[in-house]
Order: sequence, then C-alpha cells, then structure tokens
Amino acid sequence: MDPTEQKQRSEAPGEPANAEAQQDERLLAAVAEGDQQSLAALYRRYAAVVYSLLLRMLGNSMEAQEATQDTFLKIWRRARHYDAERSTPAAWMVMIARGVALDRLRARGRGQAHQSAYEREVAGLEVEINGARQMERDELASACVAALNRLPEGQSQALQMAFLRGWTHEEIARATNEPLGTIKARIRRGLLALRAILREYHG
Amino acid sequence: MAEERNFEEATPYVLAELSQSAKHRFERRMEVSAELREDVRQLEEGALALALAAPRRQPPPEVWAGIEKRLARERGREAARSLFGVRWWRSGWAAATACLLGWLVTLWHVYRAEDVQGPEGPAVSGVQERQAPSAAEPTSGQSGERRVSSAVPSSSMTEALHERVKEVIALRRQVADLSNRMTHLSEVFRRQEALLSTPGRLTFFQLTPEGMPAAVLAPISTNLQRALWLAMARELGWVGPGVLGPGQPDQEDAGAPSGVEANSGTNQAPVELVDLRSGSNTMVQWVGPAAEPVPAEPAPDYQASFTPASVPGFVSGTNAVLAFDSSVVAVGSTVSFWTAGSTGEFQSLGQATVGNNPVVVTVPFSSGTAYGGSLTVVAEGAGGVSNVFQFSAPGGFGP
Repeated sequence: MDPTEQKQRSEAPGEPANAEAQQDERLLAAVAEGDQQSLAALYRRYAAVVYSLLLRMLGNSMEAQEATQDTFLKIWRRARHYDAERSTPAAWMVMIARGVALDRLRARGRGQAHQSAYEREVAGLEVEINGARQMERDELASACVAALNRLPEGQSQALQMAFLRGWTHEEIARATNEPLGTIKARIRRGLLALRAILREYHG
Repeated sequence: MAEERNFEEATPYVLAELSQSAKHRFERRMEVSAELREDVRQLEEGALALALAAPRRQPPPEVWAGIEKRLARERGREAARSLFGVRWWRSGWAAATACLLGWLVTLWHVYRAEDVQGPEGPAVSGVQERQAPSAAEPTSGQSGERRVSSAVPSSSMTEALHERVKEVIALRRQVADLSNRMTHLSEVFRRQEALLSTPGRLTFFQLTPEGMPAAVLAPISTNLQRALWLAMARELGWVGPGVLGPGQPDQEDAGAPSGVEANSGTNQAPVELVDLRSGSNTMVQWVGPAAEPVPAEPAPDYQASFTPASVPGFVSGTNAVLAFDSSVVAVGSTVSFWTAGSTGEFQSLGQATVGNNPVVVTVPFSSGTAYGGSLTVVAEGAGGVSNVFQFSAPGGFGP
C-alpha cells in the first residue's frame, strides 16, 4: 500500500484507528516472517471465534477441530499475502475459516436445493442462534445476535443460509421462489446492516 | 448505478460464489478501483459480525498441539527439499537430457556422414537412388555423390546406437546412485538437525578446585580444548568412536569425516577415552581427525607454582564428559570420581590416570532428583598432593 494512502485512510473522518486490528496486523506480519509465536498469539485471540464458526457451519466437533487446524495452517501459509487495505485481519481470518468449512460442506454434498431443505435449515439456524445460553456469548456476540434478529426475517434467513450453509444466491432464489436480484439485494443489505452494528459497537 | 453494480458483484465475491475466472476478473478490477476494495471490505466486516454471533466455544488443547505437529512436519519437509531437493533433481535431469540431446545430434551427424560417404556393408548395397537436390538444399559439385535411402541401418550406425544406449544406461545408473546418496545425506542432515535442536543436548560446565574463585583459574589448554571438541563430536555422532592406536588400521565409519588417520606420523597427542559408565572401566586411545599441528605445551611445574585450572566438561543426556591433561593435574596423577546422592552418601564412579596425553572421561551423571546432582573429582599426584574439584548441579540441570 502507498504510504500516503495509508496515512489518508487512518485519518479518514468517522474511522477511528482500531488498536486491536493494528496489533493483529503486526502479528500477521510476523507470521509471514515465519514467527510461530505470533501464530500462537493469533490462535489465542481467534481460536474460539474460528472454532465456534466452524462448529456452527459443520455441526460436529471433530470436523470443527480438524477444520480449525486447517484454518490456522492456511493463515500460516498465506500470511504474506494479507493486504491490510483489502480487509481487517479478523475478517480475513474468518473468511479463510469459512472457506475451509465450505470445502468440507461441498465435499459432503447437499442434494437438491429445494424449499423444504431450505426451511429445514432455516429452522435449525433459528434454534442455534437463539438457543444458546447468554453466558456463551460476550457482549459483542450478543450485540451481533441482536442485530441479526432485528433484520427483516427474509433478509436474516437468506444471509445466514448464504454465509453459514454455503447456499448460493441462485439456490436461495430457487428455494424461496424469489427473484435472484431480490435475494442479492437482501443479502447485501443484511451484511451492510451488520457491519454498521459492528462499527457502532467499536465506537 | 455504478455503485449498485459494484455492490452486486462484491457480495458473491465475498461469499465465494464466483467461478475461478470470474473471481480473477473481479480481483483485477479491485486492484484498480479503491471504491471496489472498500465495498469488499465493508461486506467482509458484515460477514465478521455474523461469525461473531455464534455461541463461543473454546477448542480443546489438542487442536493447537495438532497445529504445532503439522508445522514441524512442514518445516522438516522444506529443509529436506531445500538441501538436495527439486533443484538437484532438475539439474540432474537437465544433465541427462543434455546427454540425450547430444546423442541425438551425434546420431544425426552419423546419418549425414553415411549419406555423404555412401553405403557400407551388404545391408544397404542394393538400395540406392539418386535424389534431385531440392531448392532448399545446397547442391554439391561432385557428380559422384550418391544419396542413400536405406530401410536397414548400417553396422556402424548400429554400433553407434549401441554405444549411445550404453551411455544412457550408465548415466541412469549414476543418477540413481546420486539420488541414493542424496537420500542418505538428507537423512544424516535431518538426524543432525534433530540432535542439535534438542534443547539441552549438551550443557557445558567447569569443575573448579574446591574453594577457588573462578578469577584466578588458568585458561583451558589447547590440547584440552581439542580433546573436548573431539569428545563433543563423538557425543553428537559426527565422528565414529573408532579405536585407533599405533599400528592399527583405520576404522571406517559412515559419519567419520575424511582424514581420520592412525597415530603415526602426526604430532597430535592421541586422546585417551575412559568410560566409567555402568561399572565398566574401559580405556581406549583415539586420535580423531587430523588437525593443524599444535606446538607442544611445556609441562607445568606442579610442585612449585602450579596455577590451579578448572576441569572443562559437558553433560550429555545422563552422562558427564570431563577432560584432563597436564595443565589441570600433574602427569601421573590418579583422578577419582565421586557422586553424592540426595541423602548425602558418596558413591565411587571409578578412576583414571592422567599421563602425557589428554584424557576424556565419561561418567554417569544424574540430576534427576529435586536436589540436583553432584560430581566430585579428587586428583592425587605422585607426591601425595591432591586437588579436589567440585561440581554441583541444581535440580533440573541438563536435558
């Protein structure tokens, strides 16, 4: 990144510097140099987030554990390709974890993406998102759940099916009998709404 | 409108729904569009919020242990590859390919030579035809030149072919042999690396005379340093424990460096190895690799002004290795070794005599108790003067 651009980014109005993200960037840079201690530090910070996401996506702890290992090994190998301008370290690592889970989900095969399968999955997601005990979530996680529950029902469901179950826009559109453009817009707006909540939380 | 289109394309990208080609096209567009990069960043942050909404669970400890193991395996593979790996193979096969090409070029020349000289032998005697030179071919001024087109190769061509085939076979054998040696060397390297990376593999110490401050101690003599280095190399497996002495043939060892010679014709003092482990009291004489000549050091006047010296050594596993020469104790001194357990009782480990040559003594050494371990060395000279060297290891000393 051009140092001038970097300076402009950090001084952009309404975008306070995120100390945590900067710390993570430093750790990633060290991992790119082959520092295993830094990888261990990243693991301590994000293992729970990654593992929880993978458990939610894959549904069983053994696979989630293997996928967690695969995720951090991918982080180790790809750290030198991380670009701070493209994404925050946390988002970058979470997307790697999601990619690992998607590969495993695709390998399982899902069968036809029809309405009953969609409704069954949505029901399962509803139980997961609202069935967990409060103590299992910290303040940030609770804020994210609350934000998700505030989204219009169709938007929240489409978003979770796309992100957590790997359904494509086309498959969701077919299963819900909605136009593809509608589904794309719903998912897009849902992601932006959640982003706004996250920004608001960090202040 | 453009902004909407950007968002529309960014969402499938963030959710990994694009095909490989579409993904690459999108990434190229991102490289030149800050707006698109910002779009993607915002969408990924929204996705992060979704991930954070999951009920938090800690992975079990074995997950990180598994990551460490896989990282160690990857590093081991990379080390072996970089030593003699793909680069060597490539150069080896490049050499073989160059030889094959050379053979083909030679064969082509042989064919052309046969064409120019005419047929030889019965195999081609009946098959001759005159070919009109084509526009691309240079014409020859000799009318007697005949071009041979034969379906059967001449005996000289057959011989040349056989020779080339033999060469290729020999080259293949060489490549196989070199690859075996590469594998062996990689294995040796891996073992050495494992040895050296083991924490606490060798822990060095110095036995000091009882009650003597370190500041007044004499430096370690050159002979003693050499003896200690040889003992260390033996301990690490870099050289074999070859038993060498005057008149004995060299003992070949896979790990021994070149240049190991019998003790004749060198001015290197042989190193005497004394093993007091497991109740054995064996002594062998060992020269070790040839080194630069070392000037003989004058024997100290022990009685008059003997500057006390420390006994250098190291702990390797459950053994302590100590080195003595005339700079530490008087020639002819008997050195006895004692250890004291946690309850204070002394136990004799054996003794050795220090002659003109450096002596390396290996004794069992255990620091496994909570109180550590101790080693006491008593050196008794001919005149009855004795020196006591003491070493006490704290608990947990050594690997």
